Amino acid sequence: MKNLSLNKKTLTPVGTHFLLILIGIIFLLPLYSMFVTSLTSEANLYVRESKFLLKNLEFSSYKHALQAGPWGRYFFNSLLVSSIVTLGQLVTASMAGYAFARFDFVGKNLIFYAILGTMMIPVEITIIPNYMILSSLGWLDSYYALIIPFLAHSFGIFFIRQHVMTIPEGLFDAAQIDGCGYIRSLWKIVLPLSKPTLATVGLITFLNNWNTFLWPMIVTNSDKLRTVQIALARFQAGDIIGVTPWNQVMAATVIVTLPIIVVFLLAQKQLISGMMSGGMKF
Amino acid sequence: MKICSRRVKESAVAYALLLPSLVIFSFFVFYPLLKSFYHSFFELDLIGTSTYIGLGNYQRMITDYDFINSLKVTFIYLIGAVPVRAALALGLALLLNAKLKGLAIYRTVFFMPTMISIAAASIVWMWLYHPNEGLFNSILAFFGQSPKRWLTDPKLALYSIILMTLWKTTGYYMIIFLAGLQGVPEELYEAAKLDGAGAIKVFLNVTWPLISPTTFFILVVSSIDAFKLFNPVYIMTKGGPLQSTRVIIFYLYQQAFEFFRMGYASALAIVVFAILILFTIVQFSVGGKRTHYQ
Repeated sequence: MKNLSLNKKTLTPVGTHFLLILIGIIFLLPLYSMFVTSLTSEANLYVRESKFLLKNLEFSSYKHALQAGPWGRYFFNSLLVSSIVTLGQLVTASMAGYAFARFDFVGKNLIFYAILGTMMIPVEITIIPNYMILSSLGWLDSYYALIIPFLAHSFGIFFIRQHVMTIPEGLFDAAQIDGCGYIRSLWKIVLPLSKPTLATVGLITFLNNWNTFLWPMIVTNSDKLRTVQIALARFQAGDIIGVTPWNQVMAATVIVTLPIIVVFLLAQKQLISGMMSGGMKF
Repeated sequence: MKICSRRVKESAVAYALLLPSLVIFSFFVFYPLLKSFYHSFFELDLIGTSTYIGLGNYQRMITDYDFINSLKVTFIYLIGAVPVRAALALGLALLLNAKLKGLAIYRTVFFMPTMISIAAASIVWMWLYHPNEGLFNSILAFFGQSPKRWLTDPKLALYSIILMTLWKTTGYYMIIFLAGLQGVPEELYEAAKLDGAGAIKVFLNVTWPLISPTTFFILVVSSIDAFKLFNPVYIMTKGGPLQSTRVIIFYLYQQAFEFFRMGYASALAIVVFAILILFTIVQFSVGGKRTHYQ
């Protein structure tokens, strides 16, 4: 049995599992607390045992949390924005990744490093001028502000470029002999062979956009455009219905988090294997 | 002639493919960066009244105690979070790298906090840190210890945020380390075992050098990430107590969106950007030499 990390004499399989279970429990504790609290009645919030024990559970906090605001609208907003952004990034990243991987052109290196550079320019730094740009375009408090700036991102470009570079030259040569032009090669060869990569990029992009906080908070203001994250933060801060009891806050958190956890559990194999093969090295 | 026109055609198609991405980047990344630089020489408010003040904003920064303090807070956060997180991620990756059955479950558990939004995670941990009803003080009370003021004690608050960050992001870096560990060739471990090397020797002489590109990547990305800390501060402490958690990006946010000093905030943004670049360059020159490539 291979044990590439710790010598068999140092840590037995039982020992490894024991340690991992211990750490696992510590990792799960916050989520456990979140769930238990969400199912606690307001009176029981102040009872010590209710933190640990699954006694006297009830769903009233969920009812109250859901009634506090138009969650349907919030979810719709998040879903709409994240879906369009994901689709957009897949399109732009496929095209750009393909270009970098298969083409030679004037200024290739310059543009490549410029795009690499965008990774160094955190959103937090460009948010102020972007706010003013969006304001002058009249896009503040609109879906445009939430979607357009994110239709391209360096992450997907590098991921896909990395992958396309592994497609054998021969396939492209054969296609060219068959009369395939540049664009048809993209359509007929690259995309079909890139399905796992595209899935990974899509998943990560969707999740990141779904979870994003600072940008929507600054560029949107009205309730009908709020994303799920901002709504949650406001709910906790008592901006929606005054000081919110913690069991309702946790209920709202569960409501917002559960879809992501479900998606993650279903897609984790794809996600993790995609991340690990994604060439995250320098 | 034929080759010439083919290259032109190739360039044209490449540019067409790149155009959408470049347009977006130009509008929302490059242009704003330049605009920020331009604004930093003005005094500017939301309505648009602007006054040219040359280097005034930068001069002000040098004597701005709050700015210097926020840099200090950011660095404390960096030093507290980055090495610990990397070590933790590596440790977990090493444990999970063993070829045992059922390790996938642990991988899921450790990676899951990464999937939860930063807003949700911050809110959950605010509850955990609740002075009376939170889990942590409940546990302390169970063992007869006095409760801690996790988010309201100026000496403790930043570390409370660090702890939450560790919980949330270690799993992500663990996956990256796992990928790096899997790149270490079997034969090297076997050769080391044949030489009679114990676990620690194997780690120091085989594993560690060979994952150094991964380690380097993680330290660079992790540091840049730590510099950008904002959301937990906004949700959990709003920079307090007593500005002990006011990191640089939060300070920037306050200047821009609470005091409406857009010009000054732009100057701050440019300086932060410069610091980031400098920091990364330093990391590259120091780390680049220590990184072994196969």
